[in-house]
Amino acid sequence: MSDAPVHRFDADLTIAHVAALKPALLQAVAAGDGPLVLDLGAVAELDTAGLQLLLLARREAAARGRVLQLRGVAPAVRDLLALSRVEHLLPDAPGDDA
Amino acid sequence: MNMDNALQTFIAEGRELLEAMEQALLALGQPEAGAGEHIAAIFRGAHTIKGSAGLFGLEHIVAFTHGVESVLDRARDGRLAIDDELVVLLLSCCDHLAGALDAVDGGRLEPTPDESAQAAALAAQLTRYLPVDDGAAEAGAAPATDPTVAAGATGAAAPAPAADSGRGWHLSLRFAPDVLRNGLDPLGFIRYLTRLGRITGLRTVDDALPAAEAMDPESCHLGFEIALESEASKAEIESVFEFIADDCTLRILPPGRRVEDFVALIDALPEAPLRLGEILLACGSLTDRELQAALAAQAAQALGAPPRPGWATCWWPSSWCRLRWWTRRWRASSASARPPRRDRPRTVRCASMPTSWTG
Repeated sequence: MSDAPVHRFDADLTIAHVAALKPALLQAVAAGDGPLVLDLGAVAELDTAGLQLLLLARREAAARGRVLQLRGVAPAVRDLLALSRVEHLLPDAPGDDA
Repeated sequence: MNMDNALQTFIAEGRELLEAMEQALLALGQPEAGAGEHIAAIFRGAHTIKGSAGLFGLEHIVAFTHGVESVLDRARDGRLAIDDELVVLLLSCCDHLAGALDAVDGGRLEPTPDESAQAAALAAQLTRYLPVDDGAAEAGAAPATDPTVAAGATGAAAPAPAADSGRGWHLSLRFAPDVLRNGLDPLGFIRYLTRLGRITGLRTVDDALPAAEAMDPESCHLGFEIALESEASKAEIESVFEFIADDCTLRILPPGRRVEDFVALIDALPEAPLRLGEILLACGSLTDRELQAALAAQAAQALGAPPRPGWATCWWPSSWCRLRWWTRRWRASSASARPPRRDRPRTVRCASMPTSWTG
């Protein structure tokens, strides 16, 4: 396991929550450098709104030379990431088997 | 941008490249020549023509140029010495490509049987300069009489690859900003689409994402380009998106789509042509997988051996850089500003080529 900073989502990555999730996510991306781990342990659902928020964060991170890594990805979330073919943009954190 | 302009630019560029290739080939015979530079220039020319032809789905040109490029690749790496005989053969290949461009210029996007036969014969000669791993040299020298390889070499000599292309749809989805707020989830519809068939390629297009601070996370900024393999009808595919129709722009390219469909799609979408070319290529819709299979089969049979590692896949990354280059030129240049390729009698003739081809 790396000691990269972790940002944990406390709600589903869906249209109902993205507005609330966005500021803290962008703040986490803007703070510090190196890989940023996104903990999706509490995320049971991902929809298009959540996906585009992740892609926004990914773009912002890339602009700062950072990479985003996912941890605790639920099967339903992984299905959507696979369907939208973004797994290479949002890889799993090292040592994360979820 | 219309199809005529795009095609005309491709033709003009292709003619220029062929001319440069010929000059470099002829310069190879000069003693003071920097052979490496000339070979590299010839290779780049073939490489570019192949990539650009792929953009227009001119598969016979892609397949033929692939063979030329493979030989040049070996010469470039120093694995093959270019002698006079090979120079003549390559000049004949340039002539063949010039003829193919003329045909496209005349509105004919597929080769005639005669042209296919010529392509197959030249491809057979080219294979003599490619390695034969298992000693089956004769198999490698014989593809001109093998209809399967002839089809692979010319792309359209036989309709075989099309047998499978009857199922390859391309879907392009863009959404109204409010679609998410209206309680509709585009990804849900795409997931539902898999009931009709198999999604063989997909790209999530996030180019329209605004700056981070300004981005409204409840507005939809994403689009999707989807390659779908399905036996379904167009109406059935459309029906998947029926509930979202008011908030969705759905563009469907049917199987067997033509160049004009593709150009029209690029015209209609908001992203830059350069970017779309990459996306469609990445989806596998721009150059369909049948073409890859044909190239792989051609390579395997031309070599008389299984495909070398990388043969079937090398087309992708290499064409990307050229696609990028060419699309930039396409956007920057006006279609008709370039002079036509200089017509002149060909003084060099391939010894084994029937005079009817060049006379």
